[in-house]
Amino acid sequence: MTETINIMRHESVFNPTDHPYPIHVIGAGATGSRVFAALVELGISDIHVYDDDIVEDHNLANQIYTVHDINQEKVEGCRHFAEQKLGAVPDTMYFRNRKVTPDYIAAGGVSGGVVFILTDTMDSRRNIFTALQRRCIPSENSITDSSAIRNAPMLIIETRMGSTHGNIFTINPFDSIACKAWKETLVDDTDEDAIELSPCGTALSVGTTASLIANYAVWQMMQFFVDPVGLQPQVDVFFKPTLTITAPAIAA
Amino acid sequence: MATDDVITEEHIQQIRQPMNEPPSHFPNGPTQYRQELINNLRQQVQIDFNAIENRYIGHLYNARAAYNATEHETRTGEYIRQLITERLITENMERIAMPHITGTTTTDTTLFTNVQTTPIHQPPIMDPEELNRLLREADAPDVPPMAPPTANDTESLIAQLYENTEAAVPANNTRPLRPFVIQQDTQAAELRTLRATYPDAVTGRDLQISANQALTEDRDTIFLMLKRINHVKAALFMKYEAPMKYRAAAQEIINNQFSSFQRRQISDLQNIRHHNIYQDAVTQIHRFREQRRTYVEEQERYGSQQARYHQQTAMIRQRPNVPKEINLQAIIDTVSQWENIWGVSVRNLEGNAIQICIGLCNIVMEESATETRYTYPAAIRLAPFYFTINLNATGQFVCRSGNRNAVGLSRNNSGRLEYDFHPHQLSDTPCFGTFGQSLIDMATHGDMISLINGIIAFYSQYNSQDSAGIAAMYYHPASEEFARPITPTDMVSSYISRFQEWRSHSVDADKLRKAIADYLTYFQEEQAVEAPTLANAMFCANCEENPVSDDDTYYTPEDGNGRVCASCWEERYCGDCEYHIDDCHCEPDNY
Repeated sequence: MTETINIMRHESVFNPTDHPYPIHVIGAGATGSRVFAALVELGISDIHVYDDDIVEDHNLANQIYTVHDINQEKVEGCRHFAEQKLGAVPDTMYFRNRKVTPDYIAAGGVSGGVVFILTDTMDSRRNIFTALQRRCIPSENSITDSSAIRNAPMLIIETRMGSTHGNIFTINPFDSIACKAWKETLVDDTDEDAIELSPCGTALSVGTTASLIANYAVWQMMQFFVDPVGLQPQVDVFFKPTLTITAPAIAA
Repeated sequence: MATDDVITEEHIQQIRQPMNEPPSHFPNGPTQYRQELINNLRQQVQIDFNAIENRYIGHLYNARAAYNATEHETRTGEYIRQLITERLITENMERIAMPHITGTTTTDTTLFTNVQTTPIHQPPIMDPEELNRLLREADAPDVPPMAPPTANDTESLIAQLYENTEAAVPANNTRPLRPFVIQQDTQAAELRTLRATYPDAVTGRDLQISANQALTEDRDTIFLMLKRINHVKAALFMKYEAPMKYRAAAQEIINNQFSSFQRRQISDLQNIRHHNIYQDAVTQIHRFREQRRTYVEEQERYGSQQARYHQQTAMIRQRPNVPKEINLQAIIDTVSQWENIWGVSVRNLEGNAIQICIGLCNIVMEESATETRYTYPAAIRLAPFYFTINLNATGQFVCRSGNRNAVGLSRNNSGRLEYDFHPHQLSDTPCFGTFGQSLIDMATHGDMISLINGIIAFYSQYNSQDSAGIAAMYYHPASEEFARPITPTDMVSSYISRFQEWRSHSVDADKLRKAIADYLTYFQEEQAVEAPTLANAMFCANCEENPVSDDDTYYTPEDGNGRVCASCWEERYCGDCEYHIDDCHCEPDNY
């Protein structure tokens, strides 16, 4: 039984022990569950997963869960994945069956580290982001007041996904201009033109697309730790045809 | 408890009766000795109060006496203790061979051979010549300083060092120490490094907010000014445009809104633009526009850098401290081998902290200023001393002065062992000066060997340009300000006993003695060397205290009377005529 993974194959590229920060994954759906899986395989153990949904049979096509996880909480499915991958779940992994709300954040939840916002509505993205950004606003003393800055997110990564394309936004929450630009990219949840729907009315989701977007998002995190100079705040990925567009700043 | 041990009323009455002593027509030695013994016995009595049983219990040798206080006891605790004391003494007087008072002096010393009492205090019998000398010194207004030691004095002192060496050699104690782990707190050092890589504008005002938010105060000021202008405009309109029948009411409103001075101003104006508040508002608006433009430029140039700086600060602040176990025994083993170390002692403290005491010898202070303020850059040896490092689990260290922490040969106090053995060893903690940050960084990394080395380096220098280091010249043996050394055997015993108090220590007593002997020899030989003094020292012509050399701030009075320091110039000299205020050459005010 072991709680750690042998990282010798990628240690020279990314060594998680050099970056001992908590990673928060808000949303354990198509992208979130695959982000979690990628983090575990990277050897990161300080992971916090938040989701209040349960696994359904149609989730098996695009999420990491197995048939044994159906009708279980999604965070439990993540725990099972970690257990099967590592043999035992590290004490530093937390699986929270709950929705992340601004009140929860104001009460101290989602503290510090890197935050992946991978929820399923624009509204929730906006609310969570705004609540987290409040921690990055200077206090009466200064932004570098140690008690406040210990809880502030150092990086926020947010993804959106269609069937054949996706966007990965990497935002410095201390940069007000970047934050404002990102907020302007949010569309209305009721905008039918912005969301692809299947014939039965549910949002389209392709497993391979989700996998690529999720791993791209994790690569953004790795880039932030290893070589932040080359980090592109906005990445637009298309698979039909294949095209990747990066931007040095987020464009509305 | 036996009933006869309890003080009763009968006992109290007995105690109150005077002791039956035979009258003595001759207040002689036995009477005095007896009284002294009784006084000593009183001091030997120990009384405890049992709050549960509400009882006072006294002890004197093997005797006991108790007093049961009632619930409504009226006698004070002090009185009760006095009763118990007298009861015990009365009982014990039968056991002690008191001298029999016969009215003549007794010389029978066998009376006291088996008595277990404290020695009777007697004033020391002094040599009459010594007494006369002390009296002369007390009367003489200028007591001459002690003569510097001669070669014979030094040899005699050194000889004393090596007497009874067997009793003074301690056994080095190697009891195991508890493991000590510190959480290396390197955040402060990392933040300093980070700060140095960014321009100053990044740590100034917040560039993440809008210009209006950043200049809120200035905007509010302008709004107030505009509001005032509108009031004045309304007042002018009312004054000049209101129909006659409304003029009185309009005037009343003006009277209520403006002061008499403002009303006069308004009444003198035909046009608001001539009013000074209008001019002020225009000026303020121009200024605000300039500030806004500057802010926007600064935001464009430094805003993203500032955001990145804050982000990196968050990364530093959120990185957990890396624990490091410090091998305390290795510190003792390593440091005790150094050439200038005579002792190392370590102990664990409550609350996960440690204390390390280092004994140093043969330390020579060298001038560290690039340009000395002395007549020559003297190398001044220090007598053996020790200092103590307190280190806690977060890597914070403190190196206090104060006796028992940092102790050496005092410069000021007649050769006593105190903390003022080094010019930079100040009253509360040593002023590490430029050494300070490096030492802090070493401590937060748990690098104890480097820390100890760094502190030794600190003690091995002085800076005559420094306000504290300038006193180093007084530590030269030939300086008249230096108090003479103490008896060296006291130094040895005091130091060794201090180091032996802690569970793990290593002391080289022979090295310590030799170092003291070497110092005594050095001290005596250096009497022939001229002590360093301030080069070209000039002092204020007024106060004669503050230096006014070429490197200091000074003023030259008009009368050419030397140089005057800045504080005296401000207080005692006229800034206009540059003469002393008592000789001021300025015309009187009513001219």
